[in-house]
Amino acid sequence: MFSRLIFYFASPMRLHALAGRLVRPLLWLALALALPGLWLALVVTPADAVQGEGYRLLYVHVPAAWMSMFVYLLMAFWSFVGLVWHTRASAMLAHALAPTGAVFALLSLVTGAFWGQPMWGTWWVWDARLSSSLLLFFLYLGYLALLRANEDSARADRACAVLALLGAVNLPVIYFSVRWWNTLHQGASLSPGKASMAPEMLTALLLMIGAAWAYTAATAFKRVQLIIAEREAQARWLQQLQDDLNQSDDGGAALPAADLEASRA
Amino acid sequence: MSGEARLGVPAGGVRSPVELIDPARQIDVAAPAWAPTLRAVARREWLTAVRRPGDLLWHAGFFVMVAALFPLSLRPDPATLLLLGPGVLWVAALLAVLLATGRLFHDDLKSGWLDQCVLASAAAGVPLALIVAARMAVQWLLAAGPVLAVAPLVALQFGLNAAALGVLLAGLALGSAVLVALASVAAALAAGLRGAALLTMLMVLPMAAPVLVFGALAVHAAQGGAPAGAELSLLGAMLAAAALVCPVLGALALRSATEA
Repeated sequence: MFSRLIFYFASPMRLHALAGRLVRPLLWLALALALPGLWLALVVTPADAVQGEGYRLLYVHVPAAWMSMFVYLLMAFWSFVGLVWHTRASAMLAHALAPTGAVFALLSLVTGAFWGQPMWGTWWVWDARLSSSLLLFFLYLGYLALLRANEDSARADRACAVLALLGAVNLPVIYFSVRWWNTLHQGASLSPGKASMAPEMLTALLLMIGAAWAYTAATAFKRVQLIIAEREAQARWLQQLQDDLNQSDDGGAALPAADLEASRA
Repeated sequence: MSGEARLGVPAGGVRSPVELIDPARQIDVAAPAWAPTLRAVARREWLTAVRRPGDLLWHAGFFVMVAALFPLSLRPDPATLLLLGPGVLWVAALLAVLLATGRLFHDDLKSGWLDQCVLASAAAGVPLALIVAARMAVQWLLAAGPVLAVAPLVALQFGLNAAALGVLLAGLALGSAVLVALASVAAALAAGLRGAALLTMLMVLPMAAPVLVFGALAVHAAQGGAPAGAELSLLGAMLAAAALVCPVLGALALRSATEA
């Protein structure tokens, strides 16, 4: 069932249509989740007993960190699908996800530094969790550099897919780093079934994570629309679509071809 | 006529069913012509490299120079050197290997040798991954060999004792093989592109970090007298995984490079 969905939308034409329909609703969903989330995070929840007001960076740091890892996982997944089944659309989706993932990785590093300075007394420490998160950011940069350097799109797709798969080894290292090593970074406070934080904090955190997810999906779909429009520029369905859009802008004015025939007659 | 002659079976019986099809045993169905192809690829790499011995000396020289820069820029007292030694030696080895492997396939793509490799693998029935693996093996000898040869001299400068030196050499042998495998895949991905050498480095550095960390940890442990078996085993495990995965991914990258 799932595989049939993947193959149905492996056609760039269908993916373009799907993306077009989903971008606006996803952006509204992101806003709808972010506003109550921010209100809960900044206004309702009390200050932490030990950390004071500064802990509120958690509500940006944790969603950014989770999304950076989740986006890389998605990129690796679509790269695998693209390599195995030779679907072009999956590679385009991976390319569309990469910049958002890089931004979230950078955001998690920066917000972590701003949180760490008052809490631990240092902007940065070379422990396992932070170092592997930095490596994840470098992996994103390498992916984007390789994408930019390739002019041939087929070669770009295969090369970036290989790189994404190679780098996916880093993900379990980041996730389990707080368990495998003694790190300064705190351990996992959220796991399925139990949560070691107050209910309002948990709700705010989940709302912010949902907002980050919806925002990522919206930007990825918008970007994949642009990539498809760029790559499939010669395709008839795309030109038809753009003609229809131009026509509707003119308000149904006479086509230039009709003028030409009228002047020839 | 005897029953055997009627069936076309040679007199005296057969030793295997293959003889029924091919009595003269000209086709070795158990081992398609892998050995000659791989030998030819390895031999070409080896001869090309040893006919320019300056390159090999340069790999060793670069390692020595980078390792010498650190004590020159920091306090060269023995305590600092003892602390810095493992890390500096590993970073210098990493950079030397990366530099040597950075443009591995770049010239081959331009000259058309890569197309020949792809065609040869199809003609001889040899998987392209094996050709890439042979290439990686020779590259390891050429890139890591000089570094390993010079490492004892440089380790002496940093005051490494005998046990630490042994662990350093073992770790470098394993770690450099992993690095060569990773750098070869990166070189295959970046072959023919503008800024290939820099792109290769950018791609390899995040993945080379674990090798660096565990290699340096191993030497630190040996310096303190503790056993370094755990870290060396991890390096060996990384080598096992890289040796399996990297030739396949490298072949994929080379195929897409030649098709472009």
